[in-house]
Amino acid sequence: MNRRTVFKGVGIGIGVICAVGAANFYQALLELRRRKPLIIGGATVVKRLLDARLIETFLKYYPEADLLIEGGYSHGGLIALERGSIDLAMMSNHLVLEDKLNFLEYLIGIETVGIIVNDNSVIKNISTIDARRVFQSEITNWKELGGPDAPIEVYSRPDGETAKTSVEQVLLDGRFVHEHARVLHSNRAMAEQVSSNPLAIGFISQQGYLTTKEPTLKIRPLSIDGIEMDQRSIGLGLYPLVRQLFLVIRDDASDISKKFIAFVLSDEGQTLLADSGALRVR
Amino acid sequence: MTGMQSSSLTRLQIRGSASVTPLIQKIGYQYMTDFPSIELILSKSNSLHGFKAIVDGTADIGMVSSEMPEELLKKTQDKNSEYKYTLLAYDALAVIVHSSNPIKNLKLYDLKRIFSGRAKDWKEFGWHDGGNIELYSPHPTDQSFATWRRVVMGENSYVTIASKTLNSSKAITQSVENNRQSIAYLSSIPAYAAGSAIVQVDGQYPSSETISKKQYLLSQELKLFSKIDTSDQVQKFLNYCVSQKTGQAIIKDMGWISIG
Repeated sequence: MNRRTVFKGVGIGIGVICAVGAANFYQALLELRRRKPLIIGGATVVKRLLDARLIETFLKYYPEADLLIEGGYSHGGLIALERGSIDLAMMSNHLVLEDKLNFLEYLIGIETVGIIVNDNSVIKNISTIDARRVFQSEITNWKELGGPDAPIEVYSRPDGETAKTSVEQVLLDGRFVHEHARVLHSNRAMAEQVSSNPLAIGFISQQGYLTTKEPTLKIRPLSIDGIEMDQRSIGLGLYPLVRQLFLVIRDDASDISKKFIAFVLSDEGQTLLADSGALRVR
Repeated sequence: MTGMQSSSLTRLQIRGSASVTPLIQKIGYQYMTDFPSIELILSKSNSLHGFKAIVDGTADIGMVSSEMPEELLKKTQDKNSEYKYTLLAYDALAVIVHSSNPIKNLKLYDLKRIFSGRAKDWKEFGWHDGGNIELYSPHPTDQSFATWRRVVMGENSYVTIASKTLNSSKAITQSVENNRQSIAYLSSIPAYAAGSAIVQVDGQYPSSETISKKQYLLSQELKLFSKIDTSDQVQKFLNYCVSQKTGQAIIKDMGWISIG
């Protein structure tokens, strides 16, 4: 092999590499131009719900969506939407800002939490004020709630868990469940502990309650301020531990944003959200 | 808590005015008890959202306690014939003072001067040892605030920042009862319920008669807003709300002013 053939070979090699590279690059460029950006921001509670199953399924149907989702707060999401830095804002509970005529607000699900006790407990109802004091360790004996003279054993969930976040934001006005509460790591563990301990009190998401509801588990949600946790009181917003979850777009929203909303509200989307713990709204 | 995840239910979304909300909560609860295959989902905010949700198609029924705001009216002017109102009940704003306050009547104009901060002392109205006037006002997101601004303050006048904002009817009635120099306004229903000292406005007390005949100036109609060609399920609920036997009976029971 003389130098010339060596050079030739190298030349062809480089040529091939370049050609493949250019083709790939061109392919990627086309891909990029075809992809439709869909940037979602706002309330973390909504993000967690969408993350679980829904987004994955949406992307199967709409692979062209270049989806980016980031959690934070409702307010920030709405401001980012107004400025056009995101396409879709996630909102927990209906915020009444300065009225934005160009915002379309879609209710996509409801999240709710029950305060649960052992089925044998004599306590049937708790006021929001007492519930607040129990979870902050200001009331520590069942006697103060009309029960037996015995300590209240408070169970909680890890930080960031949806039901715990709900309790802290909706019931405790942003304060934390007291550190003395025993932390349990699943809905199942919560249901089993409360079921086996007549002095226990804890909380569980609606979904957690339904999935752990079996005859062997002796747990019961308390009514709050005299309001039973049922479909009617949750839907009408009478039951206090409820968060309504919204997606907001602008009236000049992109096609892919509208498709996302339509998917979330479709039967399939609603079923996926329900599987992840929200109550259906459509 | 059973059956909640079933998709065989018909779900109707209702959205809008906080003044209408307690009525629809009560009627809706009875409605779902009577018709378990219907689920009503209510989001409380304000009248604008009630109108807008129907115009945008993001809910089935809007709850409204004011006229359609100008800016929205402009946006929908070519299709305003597609919408309809269903009158549900009447409400009024009551003006309340401390029970020891001797003043029994104020003119609309007096209220404007008081709440804009131009009239500062009770002696202007004949109560010589009344001292400074102290103001309480509902939260700006409350429907009463918007109604007050529209009816009492008018275009170029604003509630003074010296007025203290309170978040609930209860907070307002209690604060007024604890402060002999105070004056406030709120929906007439909780004002009557709390036994507050209500002042006449232009010689009229808010009563079912003066309100429904619009003799009392601070009245408002509580209405439901929907598409004219709405679904049968929505129409069935609207009929239930206005029927004397069902919705209107519940409204009377709650002490509100029914339409019949």
